Amino acid sequence: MIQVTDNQDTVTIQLSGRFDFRLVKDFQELLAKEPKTWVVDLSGVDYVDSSALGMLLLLRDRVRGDAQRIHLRGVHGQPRAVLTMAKFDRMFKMD
Amino acid sequence: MDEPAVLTAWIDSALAKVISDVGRARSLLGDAMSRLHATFTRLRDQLIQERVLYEITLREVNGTNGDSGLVSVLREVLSRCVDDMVRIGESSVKIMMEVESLRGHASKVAQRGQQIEKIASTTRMLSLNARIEAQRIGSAGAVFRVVADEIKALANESGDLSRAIRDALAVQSVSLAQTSTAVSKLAASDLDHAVASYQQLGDTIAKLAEMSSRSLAIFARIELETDAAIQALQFEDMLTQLLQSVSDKLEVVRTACKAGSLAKLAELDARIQRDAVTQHSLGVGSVELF
Repeated sequence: MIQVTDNQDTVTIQLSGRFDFRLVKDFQELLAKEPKTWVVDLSGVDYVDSSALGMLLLLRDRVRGDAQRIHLRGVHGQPRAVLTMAKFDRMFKMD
Repeated sequence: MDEPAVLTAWIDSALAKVISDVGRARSLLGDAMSRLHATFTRLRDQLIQERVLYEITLREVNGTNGDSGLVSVLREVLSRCVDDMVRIGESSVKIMMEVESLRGHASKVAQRGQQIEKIASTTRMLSLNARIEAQRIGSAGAVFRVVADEIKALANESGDLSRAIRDALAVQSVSLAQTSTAVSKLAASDLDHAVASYQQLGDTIAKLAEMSSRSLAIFARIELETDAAIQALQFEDMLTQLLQSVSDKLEVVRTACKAGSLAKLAELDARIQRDAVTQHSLGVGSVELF
């Protein structure tokens, strides 16, 4: 499930459950936005697959690789293990 | 034979037996010590070889400064697999997005096709009306009737074309849906197995490091113990000297008994003391420790 809050310069994407290929279409629509900062709240996410990593990388391309402009928030459990293994903690601001 | 002579003979015989026993004990002890020394020396040599082999194996596993070991190769392979999976995920998502865009465009083209079909239908109605009017006005409308027929033919043609486009779009839509399904399966690669392998590798490396450290410590301890044992066995020389000294002293007592002379006893004792110093490498002081 995905909920989006567009607040001036920041777009917050609140995800819950599984962050997988079924959210590609929603993400595609989000990529049309051009905020200064993106916040991806993963505190409600308990599973990510490789497409989730792909979506985050596309978001990163959208901000031309500026790690400070994307904040991955509330990363825990399986998502944290996967993102850390894929070295996303070096590519994004992550907590 | 008188009593002192019997006693002297008995003492001589007993001393001879004791001296012989001490000699045998010295010989047995010497052999045993020698074998033990050789065994411990071989054990230490084999231990050193084992340790060297173990250290080589460890270097192969852990690598050295300029060389990658098995552990780093495994890490590298796993890391590349993960990178590939991430790249596949990214590319799959891009393809899925492109497919979605294509489906959007196809939908728009289908809408335009429906509009063209509507126009064709309206045009056919107009051409029918024009033909009726041309019929009504008789020969004057002959040319007008030809034009109406042409318009009708064009309307039918554009209608057929529009239906063909719609059919082609329907086929394309099915293909795009199948592509999207196939790519989504590719995009949905489960990374849990990779995570588990990563963690297992980390755990194994930690265990290996701990085991290596403990094994090397055990090797060092056994080497020390073996060295100590070998060193201890080197006191065989001292024991042999001591037993020799006992034999010699007993020999002096025996000779003195035979001669019945205390002076002879003192002279022989002095010679034994001298020999003990000159014949053996260890010092008198060392022998005296026993």
